[in-house]
Amino acid sequence: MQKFLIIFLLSGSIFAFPSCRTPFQHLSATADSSFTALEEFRPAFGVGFYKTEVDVTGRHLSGILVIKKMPDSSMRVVFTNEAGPVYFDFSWTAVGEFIVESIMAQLNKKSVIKTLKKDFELILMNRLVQGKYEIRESETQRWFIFSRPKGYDVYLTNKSSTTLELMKRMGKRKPVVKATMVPDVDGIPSSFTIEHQQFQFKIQLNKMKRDVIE
Amino acid sequence: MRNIIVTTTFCFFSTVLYAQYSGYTAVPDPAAFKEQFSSNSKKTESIQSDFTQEKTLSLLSEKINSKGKFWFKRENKVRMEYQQPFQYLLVMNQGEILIKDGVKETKVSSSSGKLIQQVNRITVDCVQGTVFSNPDFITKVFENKSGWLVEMTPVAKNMKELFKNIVVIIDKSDYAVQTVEMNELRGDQTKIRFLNKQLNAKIPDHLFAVR
Repeated sequence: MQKFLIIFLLSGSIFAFPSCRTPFQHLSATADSSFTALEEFRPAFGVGFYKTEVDVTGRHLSGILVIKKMPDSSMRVVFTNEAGPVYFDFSWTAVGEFIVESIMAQLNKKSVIKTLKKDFELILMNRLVQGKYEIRESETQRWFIFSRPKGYDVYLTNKSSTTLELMKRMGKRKPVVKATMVPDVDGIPSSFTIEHQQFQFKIQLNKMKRDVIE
Repeated sequence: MRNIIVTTTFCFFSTVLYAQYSGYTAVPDPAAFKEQFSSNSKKTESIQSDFTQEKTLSLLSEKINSKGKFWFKRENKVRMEYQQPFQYLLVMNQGEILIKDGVKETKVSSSSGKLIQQVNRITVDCVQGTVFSNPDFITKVFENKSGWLVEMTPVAKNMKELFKNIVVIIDKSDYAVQTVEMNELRGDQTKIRFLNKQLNAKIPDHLFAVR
């Protein structure tokens, strides 16, 4: 299972070609330069427990993902098998530095770690303050576009920025990952879906109720 | 002077050894115990029980608790059905593994799922009495009035990367496993307790179907 995950994560990186054109030229520039409205959608962990399913080209892996904000304001993401050991344990310091606390040997490949890091950074929205950004608009949506070394993290809201409709990780031209988040009243989203566009790799997180797991 | 150092060192390590598992002392004749355990376990043709699982992640103050049903049938057939707070089914039958997560089924062959095989072999080995012949571990045995404590320390490379040790507690009254405690290198722990055991009840084969 892990071998397949590694092979397909590796193949995903092939599609991140650099290019001179930006994929946002069809959108209008806005006078708005603040992403405060977007920050309203940033998940407010505490601690969240998610039943997690990973599908990679017909293969299936499941477990429990725990996302926790630590007392020192660092963020921890731990994925464990339901019946056995921890697959990986990642953390981000308060200033956004990424640390691999532990990872199962079979998953311990640079490309796997890099892909998972970027996927989680997209949905946790913990890199908004890093790098250049711009805000553009279509007829119905507002695009918050954050430049990254090999592409962009993009968050699409409705025009009035009251609903977060889609999160995208893009290469220089094409989307690499599309993700959605369903908010919940406690600030800890009830679900996330992360779907890679260049190969079949999907992560589905569904929140577990705390009272049944403690 | 040398004698003092040797005696002090011996006392220190003896204390550490016994302090490790409070209330337990080392079994004086492990070889005899292993033989006795193995021969008595063979009398158990099947086990049906409930189980609770307590997962402690080192970063959390919270524990992740789950529970379900467990079945074992000789030879090498195990079914673990997690029922709360999630649905998760694990069936092992003669080296083949079926995992059902919600509605999705995954079959793991003996060649592609070596790690899963090794982890699950621990449970099978414990319940059918072959734990001491598992080459992936070296074992130490301790006892108290009601049970034996078997400490399994991994020697196989891939198991060493995962586990510090696995501690199994066996009930002296029926030679059945009471708890399996998997201790990972970074302090994470999974503890499974078997409750309401029924030994040698008739269990239909279809519960262990993996095809």
